[in-house]
Amino acid sequence: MNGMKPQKSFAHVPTDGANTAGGSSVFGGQAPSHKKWLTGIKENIWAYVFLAPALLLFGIFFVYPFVYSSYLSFMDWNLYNDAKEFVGLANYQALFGDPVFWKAALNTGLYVIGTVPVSMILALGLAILVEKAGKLKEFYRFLLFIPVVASIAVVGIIWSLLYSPAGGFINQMLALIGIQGPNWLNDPKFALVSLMIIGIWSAVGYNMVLYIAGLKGIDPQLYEAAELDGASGWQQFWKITVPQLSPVSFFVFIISIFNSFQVFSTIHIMTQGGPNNATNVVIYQMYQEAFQFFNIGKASALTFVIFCAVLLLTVVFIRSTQRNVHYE
Amino acid sequence: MADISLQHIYKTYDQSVTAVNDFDLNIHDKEFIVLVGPSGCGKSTTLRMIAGLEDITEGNLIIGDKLMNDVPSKKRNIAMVFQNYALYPHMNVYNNIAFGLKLRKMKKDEIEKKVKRAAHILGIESLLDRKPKELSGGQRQRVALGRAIVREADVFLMDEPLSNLDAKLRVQMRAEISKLHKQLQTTMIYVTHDQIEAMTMADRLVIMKDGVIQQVGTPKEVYNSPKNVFVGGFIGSPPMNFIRGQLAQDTFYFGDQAVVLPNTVRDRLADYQGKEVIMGIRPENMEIEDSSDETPGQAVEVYVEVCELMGAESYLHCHVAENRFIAKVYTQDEVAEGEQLQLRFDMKNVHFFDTQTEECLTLNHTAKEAGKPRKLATV
Repeated sequence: MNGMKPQKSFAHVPTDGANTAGGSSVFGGQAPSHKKWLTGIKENIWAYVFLAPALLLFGIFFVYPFVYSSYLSFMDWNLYNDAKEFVGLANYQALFGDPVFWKAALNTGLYVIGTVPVSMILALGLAILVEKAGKLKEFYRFLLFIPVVASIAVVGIIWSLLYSPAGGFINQMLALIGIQGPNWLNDPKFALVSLMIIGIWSAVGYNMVLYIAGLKGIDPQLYEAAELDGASGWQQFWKITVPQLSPVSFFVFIISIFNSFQVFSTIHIMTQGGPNNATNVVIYQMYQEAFQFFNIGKASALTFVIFCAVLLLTVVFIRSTQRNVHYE
Repeated sequence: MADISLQHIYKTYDQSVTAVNDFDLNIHDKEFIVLVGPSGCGKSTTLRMIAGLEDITEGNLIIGDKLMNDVPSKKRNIAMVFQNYALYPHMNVYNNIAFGLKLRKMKKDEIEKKVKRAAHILGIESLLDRKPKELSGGQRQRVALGRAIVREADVFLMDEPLSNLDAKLRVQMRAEISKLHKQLQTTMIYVTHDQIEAMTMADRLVIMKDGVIQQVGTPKEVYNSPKNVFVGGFIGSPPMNFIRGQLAQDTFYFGDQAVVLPNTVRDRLADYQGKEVIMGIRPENMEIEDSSDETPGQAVEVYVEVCELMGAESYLHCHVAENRFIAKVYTQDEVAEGEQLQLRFDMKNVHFFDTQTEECLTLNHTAKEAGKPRKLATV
């Protein structure tokens, strides 16, 4: 459905152009609309040819799944037989009546709030430090980027070992300073925090690279001018660096929210949503409903709810932050 | 307001590349100094050292009576206008100008008063709400100047501030900056590679090449008495012509031509009899020989390759033997390309240079000439 929209608007542009050019003054504004359509397509045939692959992929991987899962959200289906029964809003009722959903939604929210700002601030701090690291710059950059490219399975195993309650590195370190570390992944109070730490650790490298690119784009003379204007290093950071990086920050912010919203692999590998749903999040719940409980209808309803929530959040964030984002 | 003293200043990068070599200069309070030279001559580096944006490798920088080498930029009370203006893109014009004042925790109404005043001086009152990207090059330039004006700094530094403007605007801004200097009564140090800017704006010029000062003086001094071949060739448009030749008694021979030297010049060249020297003569010190004039020995027969019409004047690109040079003549003297004609050299205004050192051998001889009557009067 969405895929059609750009086509329509595309077809309009050249027809208008032809009218203003005076070429179709004979027809004036009275030309039959199907004729306009035809001229539009004829004139833009090559544009459609070049757009076709992208539109095709967009259709197969976005429009079709979206429409199909919306359809499934009104069905009762167990994935294995063909019998789909229309149940109206029953799946949505079941979802909103399910305490696990509300727990997962809360956890997702906490996870997003806990990881996004921290990973952004850390990434910016590290980007600035790495840029000032002189000869070791490349080395640090490489080091901090490893988590981004590391296999999730390996990451899961390493962090499981680090978090191990008895012989794990973290608790051993804490023991050295006289603190008895918790059972990180199995204590409901700490399990989500443990996963947030991994989330931050794996996101920082990527965000840092984006921030480094942003920092390199700032005209160094702005700092010189600010220095002569009497700005301290701290003032330069707040008055030059932060506003100049705002487009990057905005991008990192939106991407980070998407990524945090979709956290799945680490949970799947390390906690399976436990203990007692302490680390269950919406995407993991969706997976459980679909592929463990074979409750495709409810999983689809959840998908649709997540889609709407992310869309709403994005619109709200874009609207509310645009004023503070400075594009040159 | 302050004197600035640069004492034997050096700037070396990576212990091997010397960008500024023994820069020694006293700049007086309220003076308009222009550092001029080709790109890479160290003029911008010198300016940045004064601003504190670049460390001084060796030597002392004294502003007022304070040694400034290790004083951070923000404490030097210096304002600077950058080549690409360096306006803060995310702030509107008002905030760009007010930035330095806000950082100094000045009262709001006082800031407003100062910003408005600067905007009035520069004629940008209507632009205060705009962002830099919405301004033209000339307007940005004014905002950059405004940012410097409100600071009421001791010293004003400008790093090629006009080079991004088109030719017409450049001429206009040149005059405005000169006016601004008179209005503000501040010491200004201005860097440019454009010798016309340098000549028209400076109280004193500092001509640099390869990190070394070639000559310091008023525009008139450096124009009339260039210390070496470089200065003669750099200042003036078209540049001074250089003609290699042989000296014998009171005559300078080049190709199959010869000119007779005036006494003041001949005395100074006593050590160069029979040797090769370089004669420097400005394009305007040649004129087409009037056949009715009969003073012998000064006219040179040249071949005109190209004649460029500039308006009231024309540039004749001539050559004699291997020497090519440009003569500036009145357009009304009609000259055809490919013509052979007689050019009269004004020998009172020629300079001679050593072929090895390229130093001027007849420095100030024109000035001495002018000083002569005074001497006679005292006798």
